[in-house]
Amino acid sequence: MSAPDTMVVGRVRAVLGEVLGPSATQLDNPSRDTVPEWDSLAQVEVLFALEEEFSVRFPADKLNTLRSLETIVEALEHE
Amino acid sequence: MSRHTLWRKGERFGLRPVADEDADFLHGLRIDPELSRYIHTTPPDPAAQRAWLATYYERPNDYYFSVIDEITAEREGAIGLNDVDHVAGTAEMGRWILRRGSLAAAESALLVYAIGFEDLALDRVYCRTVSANKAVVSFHRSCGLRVTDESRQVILAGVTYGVTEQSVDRANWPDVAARLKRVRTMAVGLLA
Repeated sequence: MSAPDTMVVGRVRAVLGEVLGPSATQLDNPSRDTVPEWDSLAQVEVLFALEEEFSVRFPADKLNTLRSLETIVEALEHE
Repeated sequence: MSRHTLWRKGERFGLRPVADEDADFLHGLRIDPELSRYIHTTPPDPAAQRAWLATYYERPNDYYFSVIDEITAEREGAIGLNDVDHVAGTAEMGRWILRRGSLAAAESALLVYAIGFEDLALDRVYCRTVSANKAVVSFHRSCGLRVTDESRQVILAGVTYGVTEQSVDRANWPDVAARLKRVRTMAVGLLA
């Protein structure tokens, strides 16, 4: 398994910070379990902000994997 | 007792008419300080909720629903369409409150809009949210609702707040529905 693209990681981190606030940028791997602001309402904004930033449309079977920086980067790298 | 007979089942969550037996649960949500920050003050006595429901049952243009998890049969919260104006073809989507951690937001919104456009034949449904409630304003924006008014104010616990009105109309309902269905899929997946 190759190392994640640091540019993609940085862009995802920026999106999470923009939507969820600074607490999301202060963790190595911010996730729904570790960022209190990342609730079900914020998840909607995260989804559409990521799709806009990366000009992608996540397939339905990938939507529930978008729960941490790591899993988002992994999903993006398979797009 | 319930006032109307409209209901909808979704993939995971459903809406059914609010009834007297929901009063204590709804009261519990409305006095939760985290959930009630941007709603009108609720009296501490649960009997007040039952009294409010009694007045609601008398109002003809008001549709209030319990949000139910169809798998567990547990209550998730409530949502409503109020101030239904059949002449103007409009209604407000409001009284939306879900338990902490609920994943029913997207599906409950999707179902109540579906009732508005398909069962009540409305042309526009609007949501009026305290502008400081950024999570909900952002949710509606992400779902494709358009800002239609920012001139209103509301006083809550003696504090005046600006209000953001966002709307879904018949023209953008298909786009909003498509977005909400994707989010619903995500939420249902998280519960699997």
